Amino acid sequence: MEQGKVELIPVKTHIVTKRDNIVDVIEKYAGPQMGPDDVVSVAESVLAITQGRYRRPEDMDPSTLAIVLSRFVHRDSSCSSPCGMQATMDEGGTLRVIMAFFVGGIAKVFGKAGVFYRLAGEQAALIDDVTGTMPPFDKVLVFGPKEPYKVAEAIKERLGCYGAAVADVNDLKRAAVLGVSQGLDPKELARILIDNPFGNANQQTPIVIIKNYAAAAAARG
Amino acid sequence: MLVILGYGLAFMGLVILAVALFIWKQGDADFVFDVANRSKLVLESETANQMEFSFRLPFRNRGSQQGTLMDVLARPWLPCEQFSAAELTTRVTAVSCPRNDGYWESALFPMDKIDNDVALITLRFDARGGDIRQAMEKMVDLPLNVIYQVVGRSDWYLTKVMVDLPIEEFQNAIKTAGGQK
Repeated sequence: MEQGKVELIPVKTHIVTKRDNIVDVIEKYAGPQMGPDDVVSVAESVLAITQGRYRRPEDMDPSTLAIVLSRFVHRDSSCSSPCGMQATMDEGGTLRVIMAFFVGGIAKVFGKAGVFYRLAGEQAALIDDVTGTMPPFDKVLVFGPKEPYKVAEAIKERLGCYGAAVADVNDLKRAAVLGVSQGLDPKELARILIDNPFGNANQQTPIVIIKNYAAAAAARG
Repeated sequence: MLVILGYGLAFMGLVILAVALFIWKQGDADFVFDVANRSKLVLESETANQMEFSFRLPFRNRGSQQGTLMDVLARPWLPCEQFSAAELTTRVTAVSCPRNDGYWESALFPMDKIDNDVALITLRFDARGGDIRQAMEKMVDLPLNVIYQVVGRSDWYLTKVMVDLPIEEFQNAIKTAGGQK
């Protein structure tokens, strides 16, 4: 490995379910490869699955409001299905989503996109509709994880590594870091992970080790 | 006061009408399994006590919105009162995303495409004690339900198409495979 440069190592795991503890999973699969200069990151949807934060459409009963509002959302959004919109309303609050819908609609008229997602609560952008995750979770809506900062600290403490992060990255060159252990810069990590090394589709690699992170950060000053 | 209430109700009515018109014009995903253009049955494999047939069933989303096929399964109507010589199990997979575990992987299909994909439907007959060739001599016409679950702009729903597999098609598939051996 080149001095001062990070190396990304995707780590394969078994199919993680709500019976797993994410810290145990990371320790088992990534632990042996981790050093004190490394940062470990985990895909947010997999953390959410271990927290049981997913629902089958069959178990949901979308309201008339959710059915109507979902019609006005872009077709590629997870909120464009009645269940996706209902999930957003359940998580963010119905009134908040209605307010975000109207303000977002007005903002869109003036050419400003994405306002709905900023106002409707962080879950609006984090919910993955069906097909968003690998089997067997391709048939459920996966919500965003709870307490990503706390989980990142717990991972760092258990592994004794430089840091840990919970990231939401996709193949459309969009990366967001939802939680980090103390001292890490979420924006810097998002930049490093932008090419989606997770492969949280069928590659089954929801953990990525960022080798040499501390040394690279020191070299950058 | 009544006039204001009247205007208010009229405005609400117009809003509801406008939303209804928008939803109607927007439409939804609409999957169609093209039974008329399915392929003929092919005998894929044969052992002493087992035969595996398959056929291809094209499908597409002819709707005005993209939609997800969350599940597709084939359910045979083959009661033991009619045919008990072999046990039939089925598998369905998308040709674009082939799997051999019988699990249909949810997939999003764009709207208004002429040919979205093809479902590969496999029928496996296991003879109940004895020779599969002898068992298949007792085979009857097979009505097969292809049941599919759709998620689109409206709430999820299940629907189905019927595929009729006549006995002659099984016989021809066996004969053709026999001739190729």
